[in-house]
Amino acid sequence: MRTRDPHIEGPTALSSGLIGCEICGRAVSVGAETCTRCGGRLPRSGRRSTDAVWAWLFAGMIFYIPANLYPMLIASQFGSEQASTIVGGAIDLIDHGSYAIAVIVLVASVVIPITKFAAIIWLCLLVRGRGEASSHRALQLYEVVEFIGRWSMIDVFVVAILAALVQMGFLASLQPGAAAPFFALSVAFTMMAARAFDPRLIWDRLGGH
Amino acid sequence: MTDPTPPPPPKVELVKSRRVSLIWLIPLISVGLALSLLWSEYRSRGPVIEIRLATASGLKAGETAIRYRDVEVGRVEELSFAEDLDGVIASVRMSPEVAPYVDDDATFWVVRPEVSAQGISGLETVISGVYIAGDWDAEKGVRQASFEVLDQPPLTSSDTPGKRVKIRAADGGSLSVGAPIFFRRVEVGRIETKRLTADGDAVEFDVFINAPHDQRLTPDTRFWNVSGVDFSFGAEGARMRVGSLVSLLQGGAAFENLSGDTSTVVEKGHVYILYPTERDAREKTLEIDPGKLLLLDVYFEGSVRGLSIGGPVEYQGIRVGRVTGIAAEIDPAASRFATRTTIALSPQRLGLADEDVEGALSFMKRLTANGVRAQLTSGNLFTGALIVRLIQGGALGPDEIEEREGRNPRMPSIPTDLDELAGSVEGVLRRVDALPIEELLDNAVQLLANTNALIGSDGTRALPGNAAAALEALQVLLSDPALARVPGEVETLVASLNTTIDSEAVQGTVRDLAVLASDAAALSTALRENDVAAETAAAIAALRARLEDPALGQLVVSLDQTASALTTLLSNPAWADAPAEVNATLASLRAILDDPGTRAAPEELAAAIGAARSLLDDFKTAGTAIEIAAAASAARELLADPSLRRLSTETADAAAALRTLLAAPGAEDLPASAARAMSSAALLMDEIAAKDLAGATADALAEIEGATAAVRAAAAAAPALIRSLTSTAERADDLLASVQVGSELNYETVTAIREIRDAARAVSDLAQLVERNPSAFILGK
Repeated sequence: MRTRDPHIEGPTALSSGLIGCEICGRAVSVGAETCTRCGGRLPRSGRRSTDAVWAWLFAGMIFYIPANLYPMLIASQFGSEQASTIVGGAIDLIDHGSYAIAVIVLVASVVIPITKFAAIIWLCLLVRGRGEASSHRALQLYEVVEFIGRWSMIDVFVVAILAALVQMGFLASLQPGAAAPFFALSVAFTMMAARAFDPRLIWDRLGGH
Repeated sequence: MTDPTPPPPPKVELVKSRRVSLIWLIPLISVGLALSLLWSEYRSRGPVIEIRLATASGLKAGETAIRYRDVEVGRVEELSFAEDLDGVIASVRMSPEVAPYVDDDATFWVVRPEVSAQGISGLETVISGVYIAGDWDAEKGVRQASFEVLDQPPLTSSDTPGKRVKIRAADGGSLSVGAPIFFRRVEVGRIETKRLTADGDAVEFDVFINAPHDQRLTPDTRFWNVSGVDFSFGAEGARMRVGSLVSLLQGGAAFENLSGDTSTVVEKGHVYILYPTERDAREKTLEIDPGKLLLLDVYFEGSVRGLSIGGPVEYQGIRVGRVTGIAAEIDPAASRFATRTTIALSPQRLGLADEDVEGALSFMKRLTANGVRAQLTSGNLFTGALIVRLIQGGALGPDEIEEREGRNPRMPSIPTDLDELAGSVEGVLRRVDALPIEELLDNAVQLLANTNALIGSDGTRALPGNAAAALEALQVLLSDPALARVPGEVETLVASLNTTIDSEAVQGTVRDLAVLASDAAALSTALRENDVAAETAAAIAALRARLEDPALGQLVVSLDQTASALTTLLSNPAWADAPAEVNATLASLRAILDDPGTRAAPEELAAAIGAARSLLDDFKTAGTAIEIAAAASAARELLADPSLRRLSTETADAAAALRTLLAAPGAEDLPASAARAMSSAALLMDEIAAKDLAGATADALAEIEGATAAVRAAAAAAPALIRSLTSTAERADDLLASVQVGSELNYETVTAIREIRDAARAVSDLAQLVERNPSAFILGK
């Protein structure tokens, strides 16, 4: 049973047949293709479709697979090369006793991306009317996802910086592995998916009518 | 104020877009990209091969690389145990571009840091870790999935031009893997592997000969070992060869094409025999495998000292085998010690087919049935080394080779002729030793003593005095004035003789004499024809023998007596009248010659000669010559009569008795009598100083003295000579040491020089002995 909260219930722009241009803020009637002021494209239905979210999400998930199968970092020391994947590197760190760093790596590279995939899927399903959840909770989740998603790039940044710094020839050198670009793409596509999500859809399901 | 009512909200229709958004291209492209990456990754994965190793030392799964020409062509993906846990299997992912070439000829080995005689290799793996190196040729073949890793890296990479052949040796010797192969002392290849053959009878080496030298390998090529120092000291003398420094460390082999025909080149993998030495290779005496040789046991009587393993076995001067074993054995039946010598005969050297051991055995049986036996003989006079010789010396018959269960057949032997052997060296010494030097010296000493006694006898001493007295008397006689007239008388006599001779009658007599002489010549010819001369010669020889009889010693005494008598006679006063009487005689002779009767004498003489001539004619005709020959023969018989010989013997006995008598009077008298003899000899010398005898004796003594001086000088010079000989020997030693150490000639020269030095020392010792005690040289003590 939904509680009827007068602050939440009530007229919205859409219920008035208007949508706001996301670029210049002009209220345009629903159905217009472009903004009458700035000419920016407007979603014909007044809300952005979740198709884009799904598309970006799938792309990100696909790239996440090779990102975990290929080595992230190739370290060569005295001529002997050691290639390690993301999880393998974390396990190596645990073996060496660096639990904190291992946790950071695991969280940033494994927990966060997977949580993001799950969160976005859940949000998309939620706005389709599946599942019960507080719209406030959904919005908080969405904000967290959008905020934290970029931090997954820390892995890629670390690899890039180390590969640039640790170039001591025969003694030691680090090179980014094949997984690095895949991981970067995966994170980027997930961020695109988060951005493509229209948070107003969370509220639209409450219905204005 | 109008309450503007908001315009009615337009009819909003949330149209569901049925159109598929373009945004879906992104995941599609992503999928495509990912799939293409996976596909290319899959395509770029080569096949997995398995390399089997004894241990995985230094290998790491996922890290250890496979390199070909130092380029990574694969990586060890997994290390696992072999099924039977006796090895490690490395699964290697090969790169697809080289995978087709990794066929059955591919070899793999682990590159580790290694320090060997060839140098240091694999140093980079100290830091980077080991890797597996692979080598294969550039031909695609049937892919093979599993390989054995090599213990040692191959020394020659597969694409090096050249040829691999095999050499077999009786044992591994000093050859090690990596040892060089020489051709005319130039390195042309290397030994790659060394292993026992399957049956364990020989050692086989894989040898790689670099192109273009591999074209020199023909069926007639022979390989021999040149490892390090080859020093042999056997029946053939001493020889030494030193190879290169590398071959000292690692060994080495050399080959040469003996036939000189290089048109036939052997195939890859041809098997050669490795001979122990160059000489063996050139003589082709060898026998690699004991199974292909006929082994015989020979039991020699006596010592086998000097016989060495490897020593030759000869038959009719040809080397047919070698000694392979010398051992002691207790003969349980006879309960005595026996030396068993094992000899190996090469069927090929016996002129039979290679490896025909049975044929060789039956051949040897035939030989022994024909009396051939094994015998130890001297192989080298200097070293005293012995060799085994198969020699014709036993009895003919069924004494064949005894075949024994579980042991080598036994070959009969004959005793060593070591006496003859030693005789060759010692015989000369023995013969020198056997010379009757002592007796000779004894005889010489006795001769001298007898001469002494003869010279020192009273009769001899009186002889010069008597002779002098006789001469004196003769001089007195000659200085008589009456004698001075004799020449005149004689002259007159000669003149009258001349007159007589000039007379016709005398001339006729001369003519008759000439005829007589020619007749005499004819007679002498006849005599000669009748061997009268020979008979006479024999008679004269017998006569001479008698005259030379020792009894002549008495002659001196009688001569002495005659001389005394003569002296007495000459000193008789009656002799003083002699000249006058001679004169008178001559005068009367003249008167006689002047007498008409004498004048008639020539006619009568002529008549007498004529009668003599007719007599000679009678001789000739009446065979008187033969009678004379008979008479001479009888005379000879008379001379050869045993009684005469007995007389000589008796005389000799008498002389011997005399000698005994001379020796008998006691040793104490001897020096005194010797002194007396010497003084009397001196007296005699003085007295007959003018005589030739004294002069000759003096000359002889002077010569003896000179000879002694020469001997002494020689003895004095001997040490210097010896020193110079010694230094020469030492210099020769040095020279030999500095020059190539090696040939048999050198060794024998050294030995000869040492012997010369020893001989010089012996001469030196002898000289010193003579110097200290010269009489020893003469007296033989």
